[in-house]
Amino acid sequence: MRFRTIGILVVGLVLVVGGLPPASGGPASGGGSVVFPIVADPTFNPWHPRAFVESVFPNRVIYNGLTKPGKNLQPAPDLAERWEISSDGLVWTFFLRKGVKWHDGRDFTSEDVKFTYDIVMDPKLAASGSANFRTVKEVKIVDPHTVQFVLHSPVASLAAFVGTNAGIIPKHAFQGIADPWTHDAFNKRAPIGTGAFKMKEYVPGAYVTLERNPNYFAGTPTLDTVTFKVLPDINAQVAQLLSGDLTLVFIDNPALVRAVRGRPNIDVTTVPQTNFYYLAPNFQTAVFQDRRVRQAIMHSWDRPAMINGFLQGFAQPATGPVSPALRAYYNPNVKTYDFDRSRARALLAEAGWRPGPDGMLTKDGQRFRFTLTYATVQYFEPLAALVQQYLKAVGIDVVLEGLEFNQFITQRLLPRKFEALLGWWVTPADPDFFNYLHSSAAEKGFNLPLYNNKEVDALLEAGRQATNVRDRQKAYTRFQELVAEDLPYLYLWWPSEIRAVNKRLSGLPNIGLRDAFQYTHEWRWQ
Amino acid sequence: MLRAAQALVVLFVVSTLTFLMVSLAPGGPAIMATMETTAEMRDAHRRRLGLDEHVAIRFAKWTAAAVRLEFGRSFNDGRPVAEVIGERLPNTLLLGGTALLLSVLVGIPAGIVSATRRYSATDHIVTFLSFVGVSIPAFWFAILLILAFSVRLDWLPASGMATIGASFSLGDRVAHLTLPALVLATATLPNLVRFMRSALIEEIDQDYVRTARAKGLANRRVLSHHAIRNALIPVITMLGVLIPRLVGGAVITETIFAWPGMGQLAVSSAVGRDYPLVMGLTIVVAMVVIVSNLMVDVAYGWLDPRITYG
Repeated sequence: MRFRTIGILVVGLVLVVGGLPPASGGPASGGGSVVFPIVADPTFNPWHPRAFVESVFPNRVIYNGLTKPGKNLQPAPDLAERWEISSDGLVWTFFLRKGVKWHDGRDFTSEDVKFTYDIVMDPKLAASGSANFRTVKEVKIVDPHTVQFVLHSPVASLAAFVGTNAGIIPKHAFQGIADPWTHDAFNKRAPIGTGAFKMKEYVPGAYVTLERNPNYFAGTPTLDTVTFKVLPDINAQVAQLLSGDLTLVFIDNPALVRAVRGRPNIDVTTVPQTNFYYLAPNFQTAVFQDRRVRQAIMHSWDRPAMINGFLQGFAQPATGPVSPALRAYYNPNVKTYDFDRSRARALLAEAGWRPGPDGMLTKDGQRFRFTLTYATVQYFEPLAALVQQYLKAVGIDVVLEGLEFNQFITQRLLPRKFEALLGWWVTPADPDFFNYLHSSAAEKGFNLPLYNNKEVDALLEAGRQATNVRDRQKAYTRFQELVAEDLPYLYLWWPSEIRAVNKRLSGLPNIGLRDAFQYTHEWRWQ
Repeated sequence: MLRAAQALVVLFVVSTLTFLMVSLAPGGPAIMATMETTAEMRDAHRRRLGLDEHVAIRFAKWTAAAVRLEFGRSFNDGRPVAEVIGERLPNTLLLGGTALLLSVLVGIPAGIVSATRRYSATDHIVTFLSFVGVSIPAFWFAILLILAFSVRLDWLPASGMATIGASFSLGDRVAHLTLPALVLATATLPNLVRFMRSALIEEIDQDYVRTARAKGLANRRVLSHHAIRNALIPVITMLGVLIPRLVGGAVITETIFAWPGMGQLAVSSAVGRDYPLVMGLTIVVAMVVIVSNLMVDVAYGWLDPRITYG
């Protein structure tokens, strides 16, 4: 009797499950919905020190900056209709759009801009991205729709900086809040922006659904909703794209391209990016101080083979920090480094390094050895092993140190306790690498190699102070020649962004996906 | 009374060890970990979070608060830890409970069938399948199921607890539950099959079973009233060991299926060094283990009234 009961229960369960109607999974009807994966629960404040990559995408939809990356990667108007720069480059006047409403119906004014940048400029708050605004002395309200940025020194790239992860947040939502990072009701649950979509539903650990903002100043969006689904595993993301549960994914592991290519409902496209991957030597490590050594390392690795191995060819060897995607500034005529072991050995010999009995290099009784630190994310583990093999072939002994990401940041990057590291930069679409290479950014900026070169400093300053494209081009053309020769970073590659998109979605501009999310009001679902 | 005291000691030991391990782990809360921060700012932040004090003092403070059932606020979310966990716990219980039910309802009968038809084709198939189940990595099995049932057949949704934007319906919830519960059940089901089979085979070969049969009792009655009942005792013990495995399996399953439960929360809080949340989750998991062991003891008494506990 008991067997029969259990049997009926099992059969019943199978029938119930098997007889279920197919799950709809995909977007609902109407104007259409877009579902995009993010890797963790977001923080809905673009300036919050914990707003990392998972927060960038929703925040670019919820908020607007004063500008945004244009479809040609030049800064385009967003909350600011236009801007003027004083002849000495020290005062930028932004003329704001009139009639813009916050998602709660309140008016957007210059008070909000001042409030936002006062937070950004407060050194105690260490807002994310605040390094770009160190030269801003003050943000002044001229009238409800005009603000002025008064600078310590000219920054030509300001127009790009106020449009990259630089959403304006509403002053009225922070009334009575002493520390903006503790306002969890806003930052973690119910953001108020001016963007094309506004908060509809947030289930922590599951998804965030944003609904159409009918009052959006740049035109009512056609999509009904944009949903960000928390899905950290890239394999699961691809499987869900194939099943129709996701509309588009950002494929950061090119090995998965094969799984989506050739599917009838999916387009795979690539977009050039402005980010670059590198090995950063610490200039305080004695072995790296000779330029010939850095050049020898560049000759010792076969970057096209590495690109094929790790990125299925979706990248090109980098010749410097400025990517060819920045057409107006990229300089193709710089010193380049082919894979050439004999050239590498010759340069090392010139620098005084001679092979010891075991074939490894020594100088003054010291072995050429350094520790290469990396975070165990993406493909850095096998990449570091490959770099080790390539350098061993020319007599350099590399000790590998792979660390969990949090540990990598807090124990190595921030206190600059490393000899060399593998990393990457995602930079604004601008050639201004002041924060990455100027000597003043060595201790607290992004200048990880602690690079100090007076001529590079002068060129970076000149690039910032130039008030027209031609003068900027002049400074950055020479800058690229110099950093290709001197190698403050040992450049690996500029990766292409690979994205797989459901064919029913159209209207995405052909720019990086982070930037494309600032055009969600133009996306369409057919 | 003794059981309660034992449970408290276990809870104290588990929380002490976890606190020490979490505090001594390299890296710190990723808060303020942007490149813009200076060492002074990070120190100020550590003070604000109370991380500048000695680990022993921090543990004493944490214990004093925990006794009052206060577990602090999540560094990341800002809300009380109990509230954050309270939001996720029912989801994990639903997933884990379904997987457990599936394991018991399928695993025990399959083990019985396998044992009573020893060396038959059915036995070989069941044994083979349970070997496959034990060996299969959860994340791979999950992707395989998604590709089969979501991509190819389009029968079941690939992730989440409900269709986004749709109002709640039981069918929708069951559809979303099926694949993750199946994957999670592979952590326990094959073990139950194997254990039930060997325990029952051992009982079938015992003298009392032979005697019962010799007395003319129907085979089915011998099995259901005597052999299976006795064979279930070691199986129940095994179940006590397997329940915590369900909690562990939930980490992978919930991450792949975007199931907003505690497993997924455990991963993100550990990666983000959200110490209060890690501690809160540890206590909850320890409680699950303690309660499941208690339930095993109760089940023993029911199956064999001779077994009692002081």
